[in-house]
Amino acid sequence: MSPAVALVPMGQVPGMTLKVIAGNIAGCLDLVVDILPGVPLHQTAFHPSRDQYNAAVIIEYLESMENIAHGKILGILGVDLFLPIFTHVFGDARMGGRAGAMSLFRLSRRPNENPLKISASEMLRPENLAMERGAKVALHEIGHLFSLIHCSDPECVMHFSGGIDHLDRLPLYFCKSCLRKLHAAFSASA
Amino acid sequence: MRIMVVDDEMIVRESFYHWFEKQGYSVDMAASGQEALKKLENAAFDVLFADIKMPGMSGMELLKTVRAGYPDVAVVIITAYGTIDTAVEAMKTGAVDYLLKPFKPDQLTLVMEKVQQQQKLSLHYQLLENQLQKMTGSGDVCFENIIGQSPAMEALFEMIPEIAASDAPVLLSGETGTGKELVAKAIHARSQRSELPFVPINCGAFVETLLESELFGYQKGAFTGAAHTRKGLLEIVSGGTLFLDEIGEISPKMQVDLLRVLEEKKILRVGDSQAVDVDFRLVSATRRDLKTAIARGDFRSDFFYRINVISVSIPPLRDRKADIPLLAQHFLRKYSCETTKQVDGISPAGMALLNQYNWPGNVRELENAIERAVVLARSPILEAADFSFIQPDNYNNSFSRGTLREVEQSHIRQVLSQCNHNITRAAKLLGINRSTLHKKIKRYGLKG
Ligand SMILES: Nc1ncnc2c1ncn2[C@@H]1O[C@H](COP(=O)(O)OP(=O)(O)O)[C@@H](O)[C@H]1O
Ligand SMILES: [Zn+2]
Ligand SMILES: [Zn+2]
Repeated sequence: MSPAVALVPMGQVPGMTLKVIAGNIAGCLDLVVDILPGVPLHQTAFHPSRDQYNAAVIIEYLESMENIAHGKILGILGVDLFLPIFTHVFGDARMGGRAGAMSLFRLSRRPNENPLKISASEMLRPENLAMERGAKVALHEIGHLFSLIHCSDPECVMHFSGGIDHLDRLPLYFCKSCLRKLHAAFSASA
Repeated sequence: MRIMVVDDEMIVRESFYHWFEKQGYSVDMAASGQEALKKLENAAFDVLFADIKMPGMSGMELLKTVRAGYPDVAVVIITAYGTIDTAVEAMKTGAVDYLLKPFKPDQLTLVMEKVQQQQKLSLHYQLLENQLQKMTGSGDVCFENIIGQSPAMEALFEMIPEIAASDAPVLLSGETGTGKELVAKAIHARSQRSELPFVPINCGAFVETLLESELFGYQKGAFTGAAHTRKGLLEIVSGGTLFLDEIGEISPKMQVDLLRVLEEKKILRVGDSQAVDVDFRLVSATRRDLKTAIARGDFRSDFFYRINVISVSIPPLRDRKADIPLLAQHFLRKYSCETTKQVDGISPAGMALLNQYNWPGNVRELENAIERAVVLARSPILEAADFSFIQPDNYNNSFSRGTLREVEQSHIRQVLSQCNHNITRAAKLLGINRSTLHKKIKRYGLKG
């Protein structure tokens, strides 16, 4: 299997966002990234009383998909994701796994509505901001798929971010040490 | 950081597992309390995340067992809505924190930070603990049960063997509670007389005639009540070490009598005319400045020079603050064992408070303070608040007004309520025996 990445839109996902995410992964990591045709939302993952989708179930489903030659698969959803212990997650991926999932659901909110306190990244138009955040989450989950653990460097996209404000403070790139580990992982899987 | 997740639900275990894995922690899982305990026996863990509601052994039971058997393992309780009360109880039982399922991802980060914080603290205590363990072997910070690492104490540790080797009389001076008796015992233990008795007597505790018969003994019929001949301590000591505490309190007549004994090595029992040979090493102690007493004419200078051949002064605790953390830790261990209360450390703020206080009652007061805090402690780490009673302000408030009787009454009442009216414990804190306490309770009409 090549270390190429497949992006799988599930349900309604804006095409522009997919392109931005693909572009950032390809640019940051020098990997082949393909956007595959969309698939319907996997309804087994739906949890009615939480009105959310279980990220772990989505990941299992993605891993079971046939006819994907890519080494890594990232499902992209417009709906809200959760894990049994967490109220929500921006994304989820197993360490060294083949598939991960991420949600755009919580990425279009402004953390701060006071115009005087709007940060540079918030100056972006809402849809641009959501795309930038989406790209960060995607890079982060791809990192996990290549066995990266959370990075202690706050200037690294592998730094853990629990909330949207925190996510906005993360850069759109990996620190040197994480990048080195990633390249080692690429050559191992190539 | 080694973590174990204990939950009967597999999906919960796995969610935790994958998250911790991404944090770079090594994770193990157990489906029940019993399985968790088995794993704890075989491997060391730093943190346990335990669901409170599990079939078989509950999270609460697991928490208690782990706290008792593996006090170094931090326990975080996982609860769902509706079990909050149990979570509160868990916190009281010593859980580091609890998580209400489902929680925000960053809450788990916060909990882990808290766990790490605690571990740093306990690491700090372990260092202290190690220092304490070291002392028994190397004599570094402990010498014959005397603990200290200040320059003054180190000098003392060096001096004691030399002092012990000679047989000359020693005078120990220092404020009350500085450890004079402990030093006297150490001198005895290191001397050639160590196999023979160590006989202490507090000269300040007896009226003159009583002290005389205590020391010299008496002949049958020497005075009313002397139904038998009784040996005095000077005879009983028979080759050992006699420790005369509060020697500054003895009368001029007694000074003359003792001076004669020291010179002649013979005594006369009260009411007897036959001299008896005696042999002992004399160690005396005083908290008064005997030179001033001599100048005032209260103390004989010839007697002073006879007992003060070797002079050792023990500085007050406030002048050797380096000893405070070590002593505090030592007493903490002693009393948490004695009271079987799980108290394993003192918070930095608590320690700062102990360091600031000037300890007029010296080591004895520190020992009492730790004992009291341990008895009353509500958490495994003693906080500054647990020592509020040593704050000078507090002292002034409760002791400023009233006759001795009133002060005693109110103090007893306070101690009783702090001990939940446990007479044995209260008596111990008050330094009196239980029957005396019972009498006082009755006299003051207090609720026992
Ligand atoms: N350096 C020390 N290390 C350990 N315990 C001490 C030390 N100094 C004093 N103590 C304890 O404090 C209490 C008072 O000591 P003690 O020798 O009776 O003092 P003093 O005779 O000077 O009044 C005793 O319980 C003693 O064990
Ligand atoms: Zn992550
Ligand atoms: Zn990094």
